Amino acid sequence: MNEPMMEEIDVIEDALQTWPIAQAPRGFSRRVLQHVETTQQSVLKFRFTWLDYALGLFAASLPFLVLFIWDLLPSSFIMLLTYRLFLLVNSPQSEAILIFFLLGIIGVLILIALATFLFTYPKTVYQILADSS
Amino acid sequence: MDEQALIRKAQKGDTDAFADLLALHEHFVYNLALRTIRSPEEAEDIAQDAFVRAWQALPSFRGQSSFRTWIYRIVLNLCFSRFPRLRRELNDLATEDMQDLPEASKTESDPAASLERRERRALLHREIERLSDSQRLLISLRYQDNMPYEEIASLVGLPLGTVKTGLFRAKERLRQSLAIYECLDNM
Repeated sequence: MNEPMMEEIDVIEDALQTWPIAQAPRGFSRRVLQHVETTQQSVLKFRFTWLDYALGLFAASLPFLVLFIWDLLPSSFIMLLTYRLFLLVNSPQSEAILIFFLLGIIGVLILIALATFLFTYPKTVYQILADSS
Repeated sequence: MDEQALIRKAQKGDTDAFADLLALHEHFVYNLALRTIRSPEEAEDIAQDAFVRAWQALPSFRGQSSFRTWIYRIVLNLCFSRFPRLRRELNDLATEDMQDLPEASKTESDPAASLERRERRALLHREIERLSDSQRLLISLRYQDNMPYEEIASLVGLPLGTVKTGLFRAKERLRQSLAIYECLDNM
């Protein structure tokens, strides 16, 4: 690259680097703070979406669905299921199965309780998170 | 008090801490808006709106970027929504023909040369003002905020190459203006 070209680049870089930073107008921060003092900070918001409603509806309809399907099943198949269930309950591992089943239910209940707490007291949850970070 | 402490206090609703954050960033935020859209009234309105929105959204600020980058994003979103042509202009920056201009060398000059340099600098500052909005935005972020290219690309939502092309073309246009000025000066 020749000398004049290098000089041009120097001049352009110099102009770019010295392009002045504009100062905010007088009273700008005062005007912003006036707005801020009358504006609420947003808190974490939990909103239901169509998916929540769809899942809720599906979960609520499950017992009815089970009953409906149960009625439709042939009696021979119901007998077979009853026999299998009888074997399971009387098997040596039934206690372990029952314990895992109960633990699962407790886990789900804890999750539901947490979600309810988050939904009801979002600001408190936010403060706990902010203090811990 | 450091910026992180101010942010934490402002997140809990402390307006005094927010006032300190405002004092730290107001000139930069206003400058970015003004350099991008040129109208001082619009720039003030956008900068003010950006700070109010920042205050509202502060509890959700997780510090994944610096506070300034975060508020710049708010400023740019406001600029894009009020001036959709700015977004289009940025998207139109093509990536072909991109080259890097070499970095400037540091040279000492005599007083006469220094005077001439000042004149040319003033001319170029006027020419920067005449560049397109998108080019001024990129220049402001690169040269006034010393942001790395990658951060600019992430902020304006463009590929890295497009950002470099935009800056290259801006410099190329300044070089042409300078050449015309020097040609006229030598006549």
